[in-house]
Amino acid sequence: MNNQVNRRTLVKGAAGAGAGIAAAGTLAFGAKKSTAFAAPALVQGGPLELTYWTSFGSGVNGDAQTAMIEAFNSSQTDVTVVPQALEDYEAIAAQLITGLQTGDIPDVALLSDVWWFRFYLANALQDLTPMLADLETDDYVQSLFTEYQRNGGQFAIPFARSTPLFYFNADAVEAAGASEDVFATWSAFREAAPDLITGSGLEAAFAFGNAASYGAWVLHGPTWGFGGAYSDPEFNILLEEEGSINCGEFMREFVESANAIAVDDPVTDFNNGVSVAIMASTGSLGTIRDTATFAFQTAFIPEELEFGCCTGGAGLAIMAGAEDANKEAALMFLDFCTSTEQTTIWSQATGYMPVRTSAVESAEEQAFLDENPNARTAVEQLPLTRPQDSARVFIPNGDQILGRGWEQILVQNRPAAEVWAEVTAELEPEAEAVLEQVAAIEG
Amino acid sequence: MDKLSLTQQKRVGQAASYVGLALVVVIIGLPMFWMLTSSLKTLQEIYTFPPKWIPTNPQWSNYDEAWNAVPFARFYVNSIIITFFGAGLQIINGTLCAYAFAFLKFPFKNVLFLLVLAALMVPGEVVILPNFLFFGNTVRDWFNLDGNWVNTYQAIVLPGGATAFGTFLMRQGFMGLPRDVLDAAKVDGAGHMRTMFGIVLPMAKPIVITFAMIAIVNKWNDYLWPLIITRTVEMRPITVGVRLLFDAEGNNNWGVIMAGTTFVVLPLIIVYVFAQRFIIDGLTAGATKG
Repeated sequence: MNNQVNRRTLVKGAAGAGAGIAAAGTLAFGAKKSTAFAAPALVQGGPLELTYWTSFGSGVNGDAQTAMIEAFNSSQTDVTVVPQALEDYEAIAAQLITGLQTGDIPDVALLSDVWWFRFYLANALQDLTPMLADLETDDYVQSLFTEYQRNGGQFAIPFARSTPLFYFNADAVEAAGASEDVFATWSAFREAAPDLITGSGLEAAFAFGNAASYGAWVLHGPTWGFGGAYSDPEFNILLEEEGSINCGEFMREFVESANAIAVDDPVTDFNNGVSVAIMASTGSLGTIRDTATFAFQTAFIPEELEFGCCTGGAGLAIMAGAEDANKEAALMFLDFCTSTEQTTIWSQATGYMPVRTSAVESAEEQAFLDENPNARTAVEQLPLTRPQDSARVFIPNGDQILGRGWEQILVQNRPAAEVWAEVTAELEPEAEAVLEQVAAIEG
Repeated sequence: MDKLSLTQQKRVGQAASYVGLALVVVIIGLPMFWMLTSSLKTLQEIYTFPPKWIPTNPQWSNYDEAWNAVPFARFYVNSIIITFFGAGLQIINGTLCAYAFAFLKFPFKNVLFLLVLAALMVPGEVVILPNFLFFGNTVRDWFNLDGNWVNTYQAIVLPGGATAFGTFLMRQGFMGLPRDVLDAAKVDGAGHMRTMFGIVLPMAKPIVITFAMIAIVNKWNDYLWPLIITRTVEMRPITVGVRLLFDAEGNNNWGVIMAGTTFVVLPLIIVYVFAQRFIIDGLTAGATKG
């Protein structure tokens, strides 16, 4: 039984091997990555593949997105776009943030109004200015196009752009014997709410959404309408102004009176006949049109002291870290998606606004809008919109911080002055950080 | 005051335990029951209040719709691969480590065991970022690869391969085995491999299977790490895949979503039904030790 390999020798061997591995590891750390011959991007005999991260993967919007990508792929043989569908704008942003650390980035990404600036500050977006000479940029709706301009560069192209709309259940309003004039101002609406509820038999006159369903976005316009604002262009937070507090208190009382409710997803509750009216993106028009079992109409956001409404939605951006050949191909794709023909098809299917003036004014579109007056509202509201306040779009997580503030007011029934004071305190340090980053990049 | 007789006391005690048991069954079983019945309801039935306990018109089509809305077959394949290799790694590592800590003498044994215990106290969330950067950047640089290991099976499985809990649990189990059998084996000239496979594992079967069940359930239900390390739909396991169902159904069709959730839970229930005999043995093994 003279077994050479017994436990003692094994332990010694293991210790030796461990030391050896550690030594090899330190050597590997020192070794440089071999300059491998990089494979050419355009593989001979096959089309160039572009990865595109989108949040339009399912439902009405998903079908329209898939159709558009297939149309692009079949319209030429040089480039194939491979889409990756993620849950929502926040999921795209989260995956992009982690991906930037490890190099797992797409060529094209769909970035929403609150996310593109964050990636601009991180120098992750390709400046499109030198590449735009080939596109007819004058034809883009200028207010949507210039939104992505910063420091002399163009960092995204508008694609799925929206405004919040006031949707109301026309059947319910008719049953209650009311007219749509009650939706002209918030005061008139709130006053008529009890009659609307008893007359229609629905649970509530209005349904507010939570932070995750972009509650802060739809309430941005009404905040302006009450004479308040989230912030000014210099990042001064204006939530403690009288107008902002009045708006918060008004909405709080609306929910407190039980004539309005606070829900997770207003669109779902509207479709299920729970609420007479909601505010939601025009991009939900296609979904509501397909799901609602009643007649509904869209209207401008109600005013109060004045009219206030913002824009929203997402644009397409090319990642700065993508291969150069991919960037050129990506520009082809962006051009295709925002061409007059495609933006017309897209907006008619989903409810998002056409991003080109020629698309809005074409005879075909005008005929469509005549037949579908609900789709016309966003287009008519667009000239009356203002650019969003910096607190929501330029401060990281500003949208969610404001949304949670609204949740405190509407769901927890806390006084608006108190909540806005807390939100201001939360936003101000973040605003400082952003100002520093902006100064570092833009000088 | 009338003192209850012994039989009456016993009956009261029994009644109290039955009430307690019923309460626990309701608390644990009600959500499961609701999930199963909701998966067979139409949307209107789910939303009615007072709640409808038994669906009158079972919508088996919900299961069909859920299966086709997102690629469940692919999710099942991924989950099975991850669970098989992940739990397998954990069982192998845990058993071998436990054997070493229970029966062998080697330098720094106590220090190493303390390290294992310390690892128990590290919350999983803390290591997510280092792991992600490791598989994203470090692996590529160390091995001079073209791509990194993000969105690969090995990246999902490897971080969970070592288990402090399993080592600890099975060490305790092994130490509770009768020493005389092991000594007899040693005297007969059995080496460590023979002892482990021939004597220790068969005798400690309940505790090993208990741990195997825990490992399988943990790996099957693992959500956060696969969510972060997988980037494409084809690589996602079923727990992450069900989340896609939420968006596909537009937060609307709860019946279909419940059907999808049932898909996640069903395999585990089947495995548990087979293994529960061993688990109960394992839990009570030490109790009646003479």
